[in-house]
Amino acid sequence: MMLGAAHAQCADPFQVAAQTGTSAFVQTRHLTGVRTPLVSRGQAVVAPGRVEWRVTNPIDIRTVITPTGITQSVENGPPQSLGPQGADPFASGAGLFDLLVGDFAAVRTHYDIARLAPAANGSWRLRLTPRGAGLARFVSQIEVNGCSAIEGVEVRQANGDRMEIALTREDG
Amino acid sequence: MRRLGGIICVIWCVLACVVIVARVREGRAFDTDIQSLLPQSAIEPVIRAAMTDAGDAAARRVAVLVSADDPQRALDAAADLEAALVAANVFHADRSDGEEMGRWLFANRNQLLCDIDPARFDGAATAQRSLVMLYSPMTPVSGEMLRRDPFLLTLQLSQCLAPSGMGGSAILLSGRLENSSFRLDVQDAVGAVYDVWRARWPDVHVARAGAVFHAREGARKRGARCR
Repeated sequence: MMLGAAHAQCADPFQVAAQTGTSAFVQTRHLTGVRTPLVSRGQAVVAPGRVEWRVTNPIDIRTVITPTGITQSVENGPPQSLGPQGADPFASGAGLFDLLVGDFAAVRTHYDIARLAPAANGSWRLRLTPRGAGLARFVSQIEVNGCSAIEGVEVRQANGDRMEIALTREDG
Repeated sequence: MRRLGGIICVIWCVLACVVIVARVREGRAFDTDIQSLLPQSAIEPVIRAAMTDAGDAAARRVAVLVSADDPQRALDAAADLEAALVAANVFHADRSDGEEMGRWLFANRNQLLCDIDPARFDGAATAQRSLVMLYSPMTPVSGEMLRRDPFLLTLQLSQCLAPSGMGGSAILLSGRLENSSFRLDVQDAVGAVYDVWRARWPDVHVARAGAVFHAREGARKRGARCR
């Protein structure tokens, strides 16, 4: 997983709450039986109560997540509401949104959080384990790291697939 | 001769009363399906059976759209209605058939279409949707799924054919009744659960569809006219 530069002093991960701003991301999906990882790049814009996850490469997909719902538009098309059948349990209501807005209290409703030993560069590391059997059917565990903000997320799925997200702040 | 006729009439009345009492005691209410009055010999038995099955399946369908100013309230109200209907043993929610429906969609993915008109099928758009699913953060794609269904047709069909939330603050609760909507006891049970639920959630907006609601409303209006 990609980590930021060496950190002399990192904030308490539970104090990075409610950070807003724009981050560049690189998402890498390792799928079982698929030799080449699927890599996508884009920007994540976090505002109060709203996350815009925009994949710009290899295809333009703008996903807007709010507490009331999820919409998606492709190649600047009209936004369409995503039904629950199409939503990944981590990316929808059970993880990504709460993590990106730094709401660990909400994350705790779905996951047990354990603090791991800091990384070599001093960044903090957290391990999230699903609390409920329903979510555990999809997600084995999630590892999150960062310093003043979340910089990396690794999702290990129950079926052996793995997804890494590296985030780099573009503002502030 | 008149005496014999009178005896036969009395026997017929007694038998009718016995049948009625037995059906009521067994909880089997009366069939209110108007098609049951049609002559049995008017149509081929196989065709009649097919029509009956199709009609029964359609008549058992129930859909309730719940909306509110607060989306969470709509979600809670819809969940409460589903729980109450299931607890009364009258309702089976579509969303509890998720795995079964997924298997059916996968098995029939090459025959099913999202478009109503087959002529409007767009192969390029289907391929692009699969690409979007691959790179979208919201799609639960797995390596196994990709190997068995490279264009992710099952997922695409699940998004366009399966019932879902309506987006915004509206929640669609859909499913089927456990028994025929033409039975009076089913109409009464569903109606009672619905009325109690409505009293618990007076502030939510509701739109409902289903033969059971039409039948109950018809019976209620007829009863009001008789009084």
